[in-house]
Amino acid sequence: MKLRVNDLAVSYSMRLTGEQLLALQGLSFDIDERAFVTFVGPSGCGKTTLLKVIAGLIAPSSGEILLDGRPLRQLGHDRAMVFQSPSLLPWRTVSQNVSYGLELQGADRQLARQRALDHIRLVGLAGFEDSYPLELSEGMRQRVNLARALATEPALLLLDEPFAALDAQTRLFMQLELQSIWARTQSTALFVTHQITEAILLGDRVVVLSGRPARVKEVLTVPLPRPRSMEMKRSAEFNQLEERIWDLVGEEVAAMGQFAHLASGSASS
Amino acid sequence: MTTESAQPSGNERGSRRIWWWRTGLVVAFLAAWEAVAGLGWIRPIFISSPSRIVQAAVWLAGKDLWHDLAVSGVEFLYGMLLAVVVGLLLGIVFGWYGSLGAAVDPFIAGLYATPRVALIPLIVLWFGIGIASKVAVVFLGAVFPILVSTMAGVRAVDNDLVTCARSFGATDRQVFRTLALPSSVPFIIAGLQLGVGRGLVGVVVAEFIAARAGIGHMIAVAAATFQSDKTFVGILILAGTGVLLSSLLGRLQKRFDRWRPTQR
Repeated sequence: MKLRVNDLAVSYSMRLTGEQLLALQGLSFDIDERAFVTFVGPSGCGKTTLLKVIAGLIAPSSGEILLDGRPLRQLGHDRAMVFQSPSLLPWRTVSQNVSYGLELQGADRQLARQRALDHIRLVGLAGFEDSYPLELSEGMRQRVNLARALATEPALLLLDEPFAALDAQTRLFMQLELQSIWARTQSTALFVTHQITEAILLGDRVVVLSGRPARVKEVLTVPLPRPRSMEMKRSAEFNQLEERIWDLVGEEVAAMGQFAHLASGSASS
Repeated sequence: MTTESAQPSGNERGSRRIWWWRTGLVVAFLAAWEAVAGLGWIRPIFISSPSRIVQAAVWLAGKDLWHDLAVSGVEFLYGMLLAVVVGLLLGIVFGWYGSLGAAVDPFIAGLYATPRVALIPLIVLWFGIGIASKVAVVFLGAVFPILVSTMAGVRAVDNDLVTCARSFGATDRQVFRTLALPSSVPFIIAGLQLGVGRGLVGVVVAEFIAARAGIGHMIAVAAATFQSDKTFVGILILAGTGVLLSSLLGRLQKRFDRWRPTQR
């Protein structure tokens, strides 16, 4: 489904001072059906807020979000979110966790069970259906988290830095795997990350957000063919794009003035 | 988990050795007790002795012991049942509706902090010296730990999980049923453990003060008439009951903790 975000604004009121804090302002973009779009921006610019608004967890102050031309309902069955922490129910087995989303949406038990098993296989956890989350590694738990979202077969898959807590190796493998899993679904994916290489490796397009209040600074198309591979990270196109995005993010960080003492040198990971 | 599976023989031998030590210590303690009383070092009227206690138990079994047990048991059971029902229900309500819980806090905190035995004379005044006053004392002793723990458990639900459930469109009812309730189970069991202890104290103390039958009554009468062997029979019954109930609850806890990896 085609997603259109139009002139979105979100403001929080600070609990202590009552001061209004703008998280997003005048944010607009379009996402094609079945696209994989990644979002990068300076830390604390409101990336997570954006996903939460699209998920329906936060109400926007103004603006609209349209899915195939129709406004999103408050909390629909057409979206699923993958959080940074696995957020699994520790007292439930893997398969009970994967069917949890469907269960909350009121799906038939039999269907939920079957879909759970299918998606456990899809994320490569066959054989762990009856394990408990605490018996799994962090990477495996994040797969369960992903399977739970995918099992609801959402039109929009919202991923909030799902690999941030993983070690570098696991992270790379999970990136490649997410790509191949997503290719087998019908979902449009919105993926928020801090890691620019991750954003390029996974995205059809990379949306660079400005510092707070976040708006779209630039949208870049990733010219690499799919499926993406590890080797592509060393290609010239990849590196050019990476540099370009670093410059854009660096400008925003500089504009926020937080790291003024580092002078004007370009940032690096 | 790892150490146990790595060296099963060593650990087994270790636990068997502990078992021998424990048994040996108990036997030695009983023998020393018997000897001290038998040799007349301390007069049996004060400390009795294991053999005298067994004799007293057999004698009592042919007399009022069963009646006393039944009376105390019924008092304890009714009081506990009432405490569990009221404690769980109010705990859940006060935990779930936070501002309601905060509003009634002065009552809960105040009554929880008051030594409940101080209320016994008043309760006897209201309910008489029959079973009703003891049920009330057991109830008052047990209800607060259960209520307070349940309330804490319902409040302790993980916010990340709630946000996640909400993102799937969970209703309040679903959040309560699938998150708040299961995550408060360990708290509830801990509250029950405390409550059972308080309930037992309640039965005994209430029977000391005003009763016509029951284990506490028996202990009080026996001690007042220098029959320490009978007193010890009562004490042992209470100790056994406490151990039994708390091990049953421990087992219940384990059942609900299946998902927690064993030892790390």
